[in-house]
Amino acid sequence: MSDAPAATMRRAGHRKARVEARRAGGGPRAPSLGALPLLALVAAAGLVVIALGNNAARDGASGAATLFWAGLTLIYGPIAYRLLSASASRSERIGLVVLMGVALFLVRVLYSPILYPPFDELATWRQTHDLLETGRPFTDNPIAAGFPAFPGLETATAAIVQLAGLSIFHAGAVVIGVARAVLMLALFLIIERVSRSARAAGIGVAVYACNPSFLYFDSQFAHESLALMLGGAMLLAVVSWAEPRRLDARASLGFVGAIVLLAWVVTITHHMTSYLLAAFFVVWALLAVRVSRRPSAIASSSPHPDGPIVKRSSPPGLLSRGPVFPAVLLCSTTAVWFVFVGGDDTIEELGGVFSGAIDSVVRLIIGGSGPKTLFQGSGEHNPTLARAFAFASVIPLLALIPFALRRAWRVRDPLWHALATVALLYPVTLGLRLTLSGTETSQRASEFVFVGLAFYAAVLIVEMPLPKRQMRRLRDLSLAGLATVMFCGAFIVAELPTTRQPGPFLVGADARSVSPHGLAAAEFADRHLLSSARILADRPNGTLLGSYGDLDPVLGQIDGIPVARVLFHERFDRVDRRVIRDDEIVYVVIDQRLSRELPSLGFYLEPDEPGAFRRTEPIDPAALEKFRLATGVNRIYTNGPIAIYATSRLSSSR
Amino acid sequence: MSGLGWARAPDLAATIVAALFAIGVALLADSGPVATVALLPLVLVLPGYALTAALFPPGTIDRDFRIVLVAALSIGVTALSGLVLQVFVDLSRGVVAASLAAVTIAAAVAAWRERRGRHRDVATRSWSWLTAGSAVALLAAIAIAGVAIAIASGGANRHLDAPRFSALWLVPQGAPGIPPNGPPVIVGVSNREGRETGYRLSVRHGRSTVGVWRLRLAAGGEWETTLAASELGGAGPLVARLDRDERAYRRVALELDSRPGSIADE
Repeated sequence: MSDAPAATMRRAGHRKARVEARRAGGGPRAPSLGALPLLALVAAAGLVVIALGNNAARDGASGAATLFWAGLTLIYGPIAYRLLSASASRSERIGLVVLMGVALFLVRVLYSPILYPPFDELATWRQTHDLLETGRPFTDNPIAAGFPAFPGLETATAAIVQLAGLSIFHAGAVVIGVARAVLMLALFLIIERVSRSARAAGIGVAVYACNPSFLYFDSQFAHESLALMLGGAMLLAVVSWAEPRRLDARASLGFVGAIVLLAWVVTITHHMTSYLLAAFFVVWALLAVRVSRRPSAIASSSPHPDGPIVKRSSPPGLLSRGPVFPAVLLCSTTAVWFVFVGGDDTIEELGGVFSGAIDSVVRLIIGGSGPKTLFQGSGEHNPTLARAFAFASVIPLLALIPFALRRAWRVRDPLWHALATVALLYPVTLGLRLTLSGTETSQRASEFVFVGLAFYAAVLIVEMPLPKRQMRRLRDLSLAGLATVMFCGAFIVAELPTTRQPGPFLVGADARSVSPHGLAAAEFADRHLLSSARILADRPNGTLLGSYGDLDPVLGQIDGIPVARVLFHERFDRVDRRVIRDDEIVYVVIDQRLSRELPSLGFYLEPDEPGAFRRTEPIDPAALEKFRLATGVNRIYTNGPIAIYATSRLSSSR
Repeated sequence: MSGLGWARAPDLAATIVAALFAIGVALLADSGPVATVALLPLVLVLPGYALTAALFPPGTIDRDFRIVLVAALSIGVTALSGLVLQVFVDLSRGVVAASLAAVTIAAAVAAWRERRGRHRDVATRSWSWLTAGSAVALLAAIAIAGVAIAIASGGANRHLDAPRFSALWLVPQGAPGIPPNGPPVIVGVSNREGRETGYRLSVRHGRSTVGVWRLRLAAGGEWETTLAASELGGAGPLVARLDRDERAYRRVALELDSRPGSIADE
């Protein structure tokens, strides 16, 4: 062979290698921040625009929503575009995904920047507060019964409050902010390790941010926000451990130690995350067992920074390095925790959610009830454009699934198949949105299902043929535009029009129902009323009084009678007295504003109350006024709309 | 320390020093910027860093994975150690600080012993990727994000201050009883009208007047007085009425029960 053809072949080889590297998202070899500083400035400007939009919304001014959507687009769009680009370096991509995560977390902070709104966040606040007061993490939580059994977040937050002298609000923001940043990095590394492409990893994280829970729900001061990061870290540890490369015994021991620690931390932090992660490991392990029985299993030859890749004809030992050990481990820790600590609370909390979803689906199938209009809720209606965005956030992902399955079929890696299984659940969770009760289950499943969707979306995009240079920018722009539509549409799917931004007071709208009157009543209760006394109140006021007021709101039924009846019934009769006496309700809190309008979320006290989601008229004002003239009930506090009645005279006439 | 081989592990030495410094600060300062700066890493960084170093000697995992583990294990160790310790003691500030520092130091020492046995050099890190321009831009972005939070906080505070109202209360003081069998009664007024406001407060017990007060409260001001049990001997409900601008504004009431022991056992 002459030198010339050899040189030509070498050049062709180098060119091919460069193309491969670009596809893999390697970009420039040397670490470089690239466009990160500029995009950080753009994202910060987006935050300012959102802050201005939220202030305008609080004042009821026009243009509030436009500013909000413009700010969101400024944050998400440019970062998504850059992550799609083949020229960004790996370091830049890592910086960009962390920037995206933190900036979008701050969007939630801007929604409520000085105090936690109802519901979950104040329940966590109460649990943390009680831990700080008593030094014990398992005290009863009157706002959310299931919270005491999973004290991971509260213990970490309380440690920061105690040591660093921050308030619970600021300590919680630090913990969840750190968790968000680390979750983004963990997701990036997981997708990169599985796909062997930094570009796919960046795109995957951008797609993951399009899950409906990402912007608000998973930025809350609540268990799941922290557990997702811990679960991501555990999945990353297992994926790294199971990689086909040489590991000495010492390094293997390190992986086992980290996996054991993380399994326990996930278990004590959040039920749903630990159960779904365990289920994922079980599926992966079963698929791995199936594959290991076939000849010529996985083979990988891509370079990886962690060490040399070993070409092999069979996967690493399933028990020594693979998903079987973490599957068994996590199933064991969750089972132990369920049996000895969290079982009752978990059944109480999740049982209702799942049984409601199953019941609704069954009734939908047998024709007992008609389907709910997709992406509408509780009497609130999205405009046509918003509904178009909501559908646009779903259709590309549904269209992706057949291609994902086809792609998974071509790979013999059980982890790819496990991720495809997760992606396959997306249409199922979407179907749940056709029912009112199933919507919550669908919403809560999205952050898990999107791991599979994000992975395959990223892989398929990276494997698209590279167009010519001038067309490449157009393609990236189109994809970034589509991703931005999906991101905004997912937020429309997740939040009612009234809960997307702060604003004037609304009835039964959690964060929008927090008013100075409610806060003043809670402050009064903390100073003057019996600590942990049982109160009957609507949900937003009950949550404020149950947290800042140190009282215990009551819900549910007593002797088969819903306690909500006391607020709904027009006359104060014997049944009301019986409910108050038997449920040991010490104070009844009445907010006259409840009779002004229907509750935004569909209920006043709880989703199970009589008439929830079906009301056509608000509470009769007479039902709220009846306490003024009721005997045995003392109006001991009023600030105008809110009055607190003491029921001790009823107890005395027992 | 270099005689013990710590020069090979300056990161671990710094981790131990930071943990000891944090304990010192915890003993001296309850709160404030120094406590925040010194003690925040004791929860979010140091235990995870030391544990990751002990579990994964240099060269076994890459830097990015290590960062994930540092945060996850720090928060994880805080949660798990709290869970174990609460079986024996209450989770006070001293207990939490001591346990986290102990975990950090023990793990750092274990990592150091491992590293000494391995004779592996710690990779040096270069900051060449961070140019002055990039650093300035990133700092400016952080500052602008801070401005966004300040704007939102200002808006939220204004929103909460906007409604103007006053509150009136009449409650037994700090215990379940109602006079005359229980403790005295507190009557109070708070002014959230956003300006100095004049009130007339009258308290009657049945047909007799317990007291009349003319109040002038500054914006955000509050006024309370205790009505002794001895003043409340009459029959009928105790009624407090608040007038503002010479018009009836708020009214609260408390039915007193003179039957011995009728309420105190609530």
